[in-house]
Amino acid sequence: MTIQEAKKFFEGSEFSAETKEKISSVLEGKETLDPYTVLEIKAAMQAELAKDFADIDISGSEEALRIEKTYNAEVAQIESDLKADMTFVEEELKELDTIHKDLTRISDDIQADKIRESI
Amino acid sequence: MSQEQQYKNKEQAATLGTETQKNGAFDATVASAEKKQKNWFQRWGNRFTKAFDYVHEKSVAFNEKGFDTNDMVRAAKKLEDGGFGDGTKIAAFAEKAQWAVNNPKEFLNKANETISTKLYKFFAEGGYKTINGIRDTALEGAQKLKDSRMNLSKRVEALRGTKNGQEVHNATLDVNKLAGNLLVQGDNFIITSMTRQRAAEMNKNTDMNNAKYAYAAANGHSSAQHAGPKMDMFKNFANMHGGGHGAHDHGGDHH
Repeated sequence: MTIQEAKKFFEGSEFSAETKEKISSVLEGKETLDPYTVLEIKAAMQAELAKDFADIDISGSEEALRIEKTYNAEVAQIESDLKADMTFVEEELKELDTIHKDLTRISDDIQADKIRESI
Repeated sequence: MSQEQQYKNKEQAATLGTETQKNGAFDATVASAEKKQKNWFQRWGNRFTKAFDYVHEKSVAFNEKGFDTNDMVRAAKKLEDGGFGDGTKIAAFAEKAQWAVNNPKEFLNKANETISTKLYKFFAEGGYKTINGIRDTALEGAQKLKDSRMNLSKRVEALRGTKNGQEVHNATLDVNKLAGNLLVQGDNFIITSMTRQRAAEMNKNTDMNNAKYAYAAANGHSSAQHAGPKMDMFKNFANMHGGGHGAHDHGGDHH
């Protein structure tokens, strides 16, 4: 979808003037419908839909609980992955520290040899 | 030469070296090596901690307010003012972040083009890439760094006993460079995590809207009629651009 096509897509839509304005400003000056723009547009639509359903209360329903459970599981997985990722970075830094220590020793040996030779 | 003799020679050289160091001739003594090693790790460890705090701060802002280039600039400025010590990359980052704010239209296009704006790329891609895809990319980068480190380790192993100071110096530079890249990788991981969280949140919102719509329709609620065409539009738009729902995580890992 091109920017022009996207503009046309929303122009005649049922969305409120406020949401259309927001989408229009997101599209303003863009050359391509880049992924971040897509995200922003989707978020704008979601926000209006959430308002439309504001007085629909499904909390406590099986479906709502399933959605919450799925979301919580995803977030838990994401956090667990991040912990593993951070541990990886820390361990790699420690490995680099070991390499650096080795290099320092080698460098010192070279200097020590120079001193011995000069004595 | 016996190990004991080697040790004595080293000690003697170290003592002489310390004396020479006092005169400003050189600083590569055994005695100073301990200090240098400690400083090196402290420096990178400190930068890592600061990097973590910094991206955590961005993460909080991101979750609360969504994507905001001004947040990036503020965080980058903070870093520049007292952040990663001598991290020139950070100064460059701040400069580029400022450019992004001043030139929002060019920002996203540029972000996809250059390696130096990798950080922006992660931000820019956040929320549209599927949950699994963005971490897979980060894991690939991590694996490359690990490979580089292992190669470097072999290279240093081969340097034992060398008299070529230049080669040792070059290897040291590469260690520092790799450490810098690891910090950037740490940032990438955190930003990846942020974008995955954002995607998960959007998926949840979509699912919740769908569920409410279904409930409203089944119970003759007026909102179903009112929101129906908009729900269709949302689905159509989402289907045209990467699907209406992000894919689930592959659960990749470090190898």
